[in-house]
Amino acid sequence: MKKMYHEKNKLPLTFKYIEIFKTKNVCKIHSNLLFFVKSKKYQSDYHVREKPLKALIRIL
Amino acid sequence: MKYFNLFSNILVTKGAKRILISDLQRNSSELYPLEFHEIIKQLKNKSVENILKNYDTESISFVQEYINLLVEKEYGFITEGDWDRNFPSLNYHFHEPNEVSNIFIEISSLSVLNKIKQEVENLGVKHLVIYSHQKLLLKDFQNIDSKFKNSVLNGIEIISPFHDDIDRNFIDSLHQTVDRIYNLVFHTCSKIPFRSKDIFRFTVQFIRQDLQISACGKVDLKYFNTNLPKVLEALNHNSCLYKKIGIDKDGNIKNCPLMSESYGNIQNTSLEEAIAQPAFRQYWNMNKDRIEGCKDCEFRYICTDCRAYTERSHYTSENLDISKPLKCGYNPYTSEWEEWSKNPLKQKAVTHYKI
Repeated sequence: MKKMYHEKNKLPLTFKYIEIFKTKNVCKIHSNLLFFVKSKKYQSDYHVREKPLKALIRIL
Repeated sequence: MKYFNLFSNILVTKGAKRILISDLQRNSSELYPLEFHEIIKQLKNKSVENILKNYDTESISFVQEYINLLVEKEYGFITEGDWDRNFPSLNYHFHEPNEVSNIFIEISSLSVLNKIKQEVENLGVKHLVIYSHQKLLLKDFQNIDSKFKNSVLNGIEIISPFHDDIDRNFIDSLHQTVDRIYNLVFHTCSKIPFRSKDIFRFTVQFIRQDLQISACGKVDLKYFNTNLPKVLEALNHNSCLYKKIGIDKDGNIKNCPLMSESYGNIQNTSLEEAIAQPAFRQYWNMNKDRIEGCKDCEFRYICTDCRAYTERSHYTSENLDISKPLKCGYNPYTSEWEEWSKNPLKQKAVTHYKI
């Protein structure tokens, strides 16, 4: 993923490199999904079942 | 005259040595040299022609290259005559409607979950993370899931020790019978029973090592998340502890089960009472801009903080810990990652925490 952009000549600017990292759409679990669950308090049969938007524990 | 318009969903985070450009709509972040920041800043106030005028002949092509890159990456667009005023900046205010967003609970027995069941409802908790010291049987997993049937929870994650009954059939049965579980981690696996593919309604991870709860708090690229709610939370609040409740194996209510301060025990204090104490919320608004080291880091808004294990080097006058997370091996002043546990400057804290 890492692209190297070397300096072309001696200049005050150093267009050194670009590093790209994409983060997955963490909410989406995968294709074999159960999208909704029931919730009594919210009176809904379509309460969204989802992963959190950040890593709640960073243990691995 | 040409003008560059940066899209509102592009967040530029300046670090000590480089910048991070986060696209909050495409959920990706990219690293660039620090000088790029200067150009982006100038483009907000000056036309492209005026900026180019400030550079010597040899540098102009580089500045032009940077501007072309901004357009190519679709970070913004060029207009003639004036900026397009239809793109006001994004409001970085963060609103989380639930009183508590997640609970991290360390359990030795499942009965403790009955104690918090009603409070999960009252507080509108979205996610429950369970670290079990005991091996859990099929019926235990089903029991946990059914306890929260029809609840407000959006998902449950469970970390537990591996045992020999766990095989493909075990996981298949869970797949058929549980609703809210989205991730299962089995540690201390003597053998990996099968390669888990995306065929279950939850993700499954088999880990060979013995995962102690004290292993939490790691800072790594794999834990960085670029998405609007996560970044907005990090801009305004503590990215780990805001609206989080931790319960340790003795039932003590804390900000995180790994922190020492307790705000009551679930045997005699409700979660509502615990979080109503002002001290419980003391870290909620401590964002990364206040933390030593992190405040100069380009990753500060996509990273998740840790206050349980820190370098223990900086405190506020109110004795709030503003030291860098211990388990972060990134140095924003050199832009290099190193193994945090081998850093000689961290050894004192490592000894203190006995990790």
